[in-house]
Formats: sequence, C-alpha cells, structure tokens
Amino acid sequence: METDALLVRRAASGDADAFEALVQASQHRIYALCLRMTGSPQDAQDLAQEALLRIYRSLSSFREQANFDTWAYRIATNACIDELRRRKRSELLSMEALQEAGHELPSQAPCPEEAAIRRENLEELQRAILQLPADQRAAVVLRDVQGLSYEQVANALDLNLNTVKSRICRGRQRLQGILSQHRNNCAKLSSNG
Amino acid sequence: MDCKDCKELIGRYLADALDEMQTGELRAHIAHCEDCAREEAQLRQLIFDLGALGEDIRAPESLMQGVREAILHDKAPAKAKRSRRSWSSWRIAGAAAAAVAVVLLSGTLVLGALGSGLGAGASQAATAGSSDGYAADDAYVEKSMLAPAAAPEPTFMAAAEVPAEEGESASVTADSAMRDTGAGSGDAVTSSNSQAQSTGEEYGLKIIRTAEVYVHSDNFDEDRDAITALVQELGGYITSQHASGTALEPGENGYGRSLSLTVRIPSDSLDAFLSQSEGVGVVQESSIYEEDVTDQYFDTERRLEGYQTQYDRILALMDKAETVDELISIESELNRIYYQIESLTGSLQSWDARVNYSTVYYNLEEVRRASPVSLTLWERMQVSLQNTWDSIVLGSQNFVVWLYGALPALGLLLVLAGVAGLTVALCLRRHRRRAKAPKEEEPADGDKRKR
Ligand SMILES: [Zn+2]
Repeated sequence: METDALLVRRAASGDADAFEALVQASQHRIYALCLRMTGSPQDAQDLAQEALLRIYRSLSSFREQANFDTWAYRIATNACIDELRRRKRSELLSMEALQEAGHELPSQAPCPEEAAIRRENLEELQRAILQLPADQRAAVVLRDVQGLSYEQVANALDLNLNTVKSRICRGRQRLQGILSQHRNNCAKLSSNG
Repeated sequence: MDCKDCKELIGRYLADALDEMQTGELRAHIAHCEDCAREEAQLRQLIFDLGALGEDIRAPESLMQGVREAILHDKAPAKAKRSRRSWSSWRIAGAAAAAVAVVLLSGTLVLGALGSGLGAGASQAATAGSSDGYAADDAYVEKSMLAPAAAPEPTFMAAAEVPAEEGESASVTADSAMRDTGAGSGDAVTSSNSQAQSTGEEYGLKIIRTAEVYVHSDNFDEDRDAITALVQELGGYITSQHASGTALEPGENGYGRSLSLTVRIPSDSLDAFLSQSEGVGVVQESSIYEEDVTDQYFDTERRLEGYQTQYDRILALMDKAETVDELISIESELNRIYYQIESLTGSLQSWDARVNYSTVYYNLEEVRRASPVSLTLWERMQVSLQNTWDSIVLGSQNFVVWLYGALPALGLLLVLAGVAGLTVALCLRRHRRRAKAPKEEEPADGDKRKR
C-alpha cells in the first residue's frame, strides 16, 4: 500500500507512467462497468476514459489511508452515472419523443431460436439492462454484474443501504418483466409463423 | 400469504431485505407452492446470468493509450484549476524582486509592521508586489480575508511546519465533494446558499432527508403530469428524468412505460409532497431516510476556518521570503491549502444543498390495473417502526447534544439533587428507625429466646 501512496504522489505530479501503474488493475473493472451500463464497446471506452481522467484529476483529494482501488472505483462509478444521466437527459427530453422512438428500442431484439445459445441469452439480458432507469441500472450492474456487496454498492452510489436494496430488488423484477415480455412476444411470433 | 405477496417477498428475500420472520413465512409458502418456487428459481437464474455478464471483460489497450494522451495534454492533475493561480517562474522572480524592493524601501516601517499586527498589511504588500501575476487571485484573497477567523495573531511558521490535516473526515468530505461535481447539483448549490440560513433549523441540525416512492399507474399520462405539476407547485424541480418502455397495448398485461424522476423538493415541503403524491397512481412503496450530518458539517466548517487562517498566515510569509526557492515552497504550500479550502467549501455547499432540498426518487410504472399491495400492512408497520426508531435515534442524538451543552448546569443540579436526596434519605432513615426499631428488635429477641 505504501507503493500506492508513492505512485499517487508521482501520478499527481503529472507522471503518466505512475498513473498507468496505479490503475493497471482497476481499469478492467471500470471498463466492464461502463460496458454493461452502456452496452456498447465504443461508448464504454469513451466513458471509461472519462472516468479514468476524473480519477486522475481527483488525485489531489486522495487520502493516503484510503484504499486506492475502492476510491478510484467509486469515482469511476459516479463519473459513469453522471455521464449516463447527462446523455439521457439530452436524448430523452420528453416522453413523447421516446414513445415515437419506441419501435427502435433495443428490446425489439431478434428472437432467439428454440435452442437459444447462452450467448444470445446474455445479449438479450444486456439489452434488457439498457431499458432500466439509470439509477436501477447502476445498482443492479454494480451488485449482480460486478459482484459488489450491498454495502459497497451503497458506498459507491452514496446511498442508504435500504435504498440500494430496494433499488436492486426493483431493478431485478423489472428485468424479469422485460425478459418475460420479450419471450412471450417471441413465443407468439413463432406460434403465428 | 397469497402468491402476489409472495412474488414481492421473493424479490426482497433475494435482495437480502427480509427479516427472519418474513423469511420463515416465505419459505413455508414456497415449500408447497410450485408457482412461487418457479418464480424464485427464475429470479435466481437471472441473478446468475447477470453475474456471467461480468466475467472476462478486459479493457482494450487503446483505453489506456487514450488516457495517456489526455494526461499528457493536460499535464499535472487539476491543472485546469491550478493554472488560474500558479505563477510562471519569471513572475515568481519578479515577485521576489518586488517583495525585496518593498522590504528594502520601507525598511524599518515594514519591520515595525511585522512586529505588530501584520496580517492584512503583509498580504496587501504581497499582492502589490506581484500585482500582475496575482491579479487572477484577487477574488480568492478577498474571500479568505472575509473569513471570520482570519489571521488573529500571525505566528511565523515555516511552510513545512504547517500541521498535516486530519485524515478521517477529510476522505469523507473529499468524496462527497467529488460526488457533487456531478450532474444536476450545480444549480442547487448556488440556489441553496441564499436559503441556507432560513432552513438551517433552530437547533442548527443538518439533516438530509431522502425519499423513495414507487407508484403503479393505470393512467400513466395523467399521473405523470400530476406529479410534475405537484413538484412545481411545491417549489421543487426535477434534476433528472429517465423514461423507458412502450405504452401498453389494449389488453396487454405486464409492464408498460416507466418514468424515473429525481426530484429536489424544499425540505419543508417534503412531507406535503409525500402526502399529496398519494393521490397520484397507487403507491406501492414509499420510504424516507434521514441522515444527520450535523457533526461532519460543523467539523468541516471548523477545519475550513483553520485552513483559511493558515492561508492568510502563509500569504503573509510571502513578504519575508528572500530567495526564489522560498517563494516556490511557499507557493506550493499555498496551493495545497487552496485545494483543501476548495474541497471543504464544496462539501459544505453540497451539504447545504442537500439539507435544504430533499431528494425524492420517484418511480412511476405503467400497469394494466393498479392495485395496492396487500402485504403492505406488515411492511407499513415495519416502515413506521423504522421511522419511529430513526426518530428515537435522532431524538437521542439531539438529547446528547443538549446534554453536552447543559453539562455545567446539570452538574450543579446533580449536586443539589444529591444533597436534597441525601437529606431526605437521612430523614427517612431516622423516621424508619424510630418506627421500626421496636418491631425489629422484638422478633430478634424472640429468636434468641427460642434458641
Ligand atoms: Zn405461491
């Protein structure tokens, strides 16, 4: 951990190598988070870069007795959520606009064949995640995809533990609802056709 | 317990949000209800699948390359902030020359000033000596001189002797300051400052209240408009909204559209909002959380004052510096303190914003037929129990604060009460002895006689 402190100091003075060494381990986790929150590798990379830069720019507020990875992950999570909210706000200003765009929503995914491959299931799941409201999405992704504990999620999102549990619970139920709706639609289609 | 309740409980159970009793009831039901057992299995499968989504993801190499380029582009971290106030070395040299000149010219005059009350005078000299390099900072200097505890008694402290900041609370405040650089909070911060005093409660307690509401609606458009209107009516505003899903087709069941709002409501109106919003849709779940940040708030305020004093003191040292090296080390110390001040100020503002404006996470979900959740009697009892408990906790915290303040008076009271109690006890004992003495002795004598 002492090396961390040293690296932080070096990175804070503008040493890019030191910074790279510092986030060597956590960059993958941060990228994974961004990928699952956005569903697109390109967006994920932009978002992860933004998050890493925010970490870099916040180095001066890092306290040496804190755990660097936890601290960095928390900043990255916030950067990710802020960015998503910002985008959503510009994209989805009105419900009307959304309803018009409704037909192009990613939920209208191709239906998997009967012997659905696991990969397709996961893709379907990823599309369903994108339909969650940003707050629920963040909570579910952090807990279930990234494997954080409820306490860690609460800490990362700066929320009360009960709020987090409730949000995760709602998020999962909603995911379940979206998935079963999709499967029903597919079942109807295949029985009609 | 019917199956509809059960579905709700399964979700909570898997989110680790049920107590033992509820868990017991749930397991008992699931043990002989195939539907609910399937429901549970499906939800577990979902969670398992979600976990698989997180496996084996590696960032592309181009990620770090991009970061690297961006870093090289903006040099040292926080450069954007620092550049406003950092001096290029020739300016420092200029400032040094000017400062030396000032010292030489005004000779004994300045030395005299150093001996007495130097504070403001020295910082003015420093400002004047480096006028063009310093111009950008004037606003800040003014601010720090307005601070209540500004430079009471200048002591000459070498930059290295400046005490290191305490760690624990610092990480908390830095984190929350960071959190609040986020979207939406900016406007709140500015608007709240004017309100900070008025809503700052008579007891000076800083309580952040957050509410979360889940509503089912079978009249989505109307309910959405109603809630938006209610927010405006109560002087609140919507910081973010997220809409998803498509409208339910006639006869279609399940979920339709959903709308998640993050709403800021003046804390005074939070209760009004929650009670009036019960008229919108069918509330499935509604909860309030309270967080008492009083201690952190005042602790931060105190530390901020400390840093502001330090800043002024070190600024005053600028005038005494004789070499460029000294000036540079003073400048870097000033920079360091400046960041602390910035971060602490940010925390205070963010707390003010969150204390004055409660946050409500409001979720509206379109369903075919909205009906109240029947199990909520038990849950509502629990919520109210939790609220009662919270207010007891809050109450007892207030009590402790009060107790601390009233300690001296209490001590006196205690002594008086002790004296009074002692007197009464003595009197009583005397009375009792008089009354009981004969009775007590009689049986004792009787015993002896028997033996
Ligand atoms: Zn059942």
